[in-house]
Amino acid sequence: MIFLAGWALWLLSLGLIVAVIYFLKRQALPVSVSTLFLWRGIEQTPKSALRLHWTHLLGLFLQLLALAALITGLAHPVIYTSARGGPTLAILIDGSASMRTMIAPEGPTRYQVAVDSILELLSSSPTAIITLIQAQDHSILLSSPTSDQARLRSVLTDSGPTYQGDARPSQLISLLQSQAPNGFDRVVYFTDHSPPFDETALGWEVQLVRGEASPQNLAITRFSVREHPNRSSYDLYLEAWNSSDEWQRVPLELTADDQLIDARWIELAPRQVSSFVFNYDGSRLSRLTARLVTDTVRDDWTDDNIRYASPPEPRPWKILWVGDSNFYLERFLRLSGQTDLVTRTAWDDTILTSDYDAILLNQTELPKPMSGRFLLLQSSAPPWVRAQETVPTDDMGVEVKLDHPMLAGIDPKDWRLLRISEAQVDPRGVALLTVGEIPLLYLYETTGLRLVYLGADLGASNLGLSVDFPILMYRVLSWLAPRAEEERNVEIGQELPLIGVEGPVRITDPQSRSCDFPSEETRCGLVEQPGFYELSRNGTVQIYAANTPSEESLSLPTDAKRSDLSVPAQRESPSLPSIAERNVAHGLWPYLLVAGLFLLILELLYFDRSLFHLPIPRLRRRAM
Amino acid sequence: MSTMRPFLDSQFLKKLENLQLIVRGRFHGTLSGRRLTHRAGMSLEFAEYKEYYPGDDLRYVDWNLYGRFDLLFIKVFTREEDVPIYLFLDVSHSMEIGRKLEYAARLAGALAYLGLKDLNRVGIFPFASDLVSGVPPRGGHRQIFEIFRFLQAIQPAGETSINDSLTRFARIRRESGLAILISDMLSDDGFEEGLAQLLYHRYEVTVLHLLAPEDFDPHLSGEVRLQDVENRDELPIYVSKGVLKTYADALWQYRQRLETYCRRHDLRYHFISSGTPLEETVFQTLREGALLQ
Repeated sequence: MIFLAGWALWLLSLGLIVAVIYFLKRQALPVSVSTLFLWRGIEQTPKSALRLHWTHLLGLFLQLLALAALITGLAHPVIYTSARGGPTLAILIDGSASMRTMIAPEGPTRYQVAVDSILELLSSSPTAIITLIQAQDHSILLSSPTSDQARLRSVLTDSGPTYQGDARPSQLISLLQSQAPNGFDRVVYFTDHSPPFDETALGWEVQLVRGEASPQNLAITRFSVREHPNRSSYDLYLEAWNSSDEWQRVPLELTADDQLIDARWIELAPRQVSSFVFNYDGSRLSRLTARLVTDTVRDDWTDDNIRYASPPEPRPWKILWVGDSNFYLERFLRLSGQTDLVTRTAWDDTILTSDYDAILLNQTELPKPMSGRFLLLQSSAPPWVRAQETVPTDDMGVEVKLDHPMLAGIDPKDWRLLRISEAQVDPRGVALLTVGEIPLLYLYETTGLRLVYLGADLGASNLGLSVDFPILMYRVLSWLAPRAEEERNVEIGQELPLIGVEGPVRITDPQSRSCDFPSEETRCGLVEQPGFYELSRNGTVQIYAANTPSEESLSLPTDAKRSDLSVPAQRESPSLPSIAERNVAHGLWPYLLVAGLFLLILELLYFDRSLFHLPIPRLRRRAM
Repeated sequence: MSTMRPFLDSQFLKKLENLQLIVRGRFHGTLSGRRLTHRAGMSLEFAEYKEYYPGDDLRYVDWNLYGRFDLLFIKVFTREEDVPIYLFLDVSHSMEIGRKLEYAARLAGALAYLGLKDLNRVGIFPFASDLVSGVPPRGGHRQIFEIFRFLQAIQPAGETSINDSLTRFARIRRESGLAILISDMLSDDGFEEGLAQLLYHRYEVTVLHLLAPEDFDPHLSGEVRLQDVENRDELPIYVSKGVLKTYADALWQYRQRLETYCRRHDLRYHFISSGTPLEETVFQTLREGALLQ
């Protein structure tokens, strides 16, 4: 007998805790009786005292036995028995996207060829016990070990290639072990390229599947979109792959939200990835599609000619507000939809500056020097800024001391400031605006620290009402903490980013099929099709672009083994014995689980023995 | 007692109309009742003749005898008197076991109804370690409602001391009568002294020994902590079949002691199980035991 999860046996030490608790808590059940004087005369015989002693231990014994049974079951014990039967054969068929490649114009796909080969293998192994696995990024068991050839054929012909990437070897090995812990007599892997692991070390045979002619593939391998820093246009990045040995000139179509925005010819260098950048000067985009039109050239796999992109979504700033409230600034922060505001009336030691993109202090003081990103409104952050009493400006205007991008397009001449805080600032920083000699807008930056000081009394000025105010605040926040972006592109085989999402989310896939997450359907949320996935929650819609992993397009011709071979290399298969003597593994955990539960029930009944009682009126008969 | 079913249903009370309490002793009642006494009175029941003395009521002169013997005799009739009935109800905590108290209250209600039906005075005397407030003996139809109300609201309290309770009663009550004791009689200090006090004061005593099935057939086994429901004393014990048999023998001997005492002192004794339907107890057990007819 071996234990597949031997670590669980350490849990047997819990028995000590059970024993300690048992002896600490052991207490007989109290039973009320009319009087004790009739019982007091009853002497406990040595026999019953001994029984009492053993009874104490019986409950503990049952508990420990139940614990031992359950933990041993958890350790997954397996025993092996010898059995005679057919040889065991595991067939792995590559279900990754590249298996959709056609082996000849108008010909079958590689997957269909693999299926035909497997059907032949089935015919030549009539007594074998066969396990069928489809290998891709998320490998699946098509059939558990069986010798039912009709069922295997049915399952196989009903299957099809996915849009996922290549299989992970560790997952394949786990899947195989789950079906035959003692191993298979033979493992055959049908794929279109050499697997990314040493198959000979594992003892697997690899059957390469491809056409007679060298494959030719044109593909878009990367497509992404970024908003231009001026926020009025988009940059579109595209990479295309030409696996042939000749230059290829093909039309490229770009669509945005189903509208054609560009169409042009592009030239693709032989056996290279070519990069292109386009600019789109349009409104906000959500669905972008790039498509290579390959009607006039040979292309064995057309699924990778189209690629989807969705622009990343800026993540709101997470801002901690400490100190007094301020109507103008709070209104801007709350209504802009670009901030996630948390308020505290005073600083406390539990605040972690790293939890926030920026910390805004209003008419208060940072208790000690620390790293972080701070916006100080008439506030102090010793030793860099020490705000003092407010003083009247006496109609002195605001002076621009430095031409800084933060002030681009802002005209402080129209600002009317009645009062301003005097402040002592670190000379290593920069005062962008001053009123007389008093700094009004001051920046300081060092390793791990960015700090902006604004000395204006917003309640005694028109700054909060001016058009410059939101622009200035946006730039201040952008300087303090550049906004992170949420990527909106996913690869097939991944899961949509739904972890931690509150409330139900309706997911609509590219085929317009919907499911509600969380859902009992385990595949809800898994990206399986190329195209756009819509996530609707609380009235907002997020678009995610899903694409086939680009490695599927790129890996084919770069595979040395396959490129060296122009015809299928059918290895000579080792002959399988018709009847084999082999060890058959039997998992014992179900029996141990049942035994553990039975012992627990027994212990419960022992604890409350009234459940055993039958009403037999002994004395009553005599008494009546 | 709030979970008690309807105290005594009308069908049951209707059946009680055909029964009456058997009183064996001679008691001098103070009020008119239905029990014929040897005292001369005004009932329709002829008792005897006595010689006429001047001053006797001429209406009771038997003129037929005068015609035959030329002597004047007066017809004497028996007197119908009431009997005081004292219902002693054990309300100690031990009566909680097996709902004995509920059963005892209903039994007491039935006996009170029988007593009052025959124009007797009936009182309820609950006791535990001592007498507690009850319903003083009175006659009349209003008394039955008062007794029922009291019995329905009765709550268990205290430990049992039959001796102390009955001794105290005998000291404060002078008028003898029919004393019916409803109790499990499970008292550490026994019962003899209390019953002797009643006998000494010429009460006609009936002991209704009420036990629950839990008392004589406890469903116990293995290691248990027995807890006295009255004083919360505990006794850890391993209950085996042998222990149960020993307990059964001890209870049997205790019962024999009680029964023997009653027989020796001419007390009526009835063993009642709270598991027996009340109707069966009243119409069968107590009739066979000559408490009711």
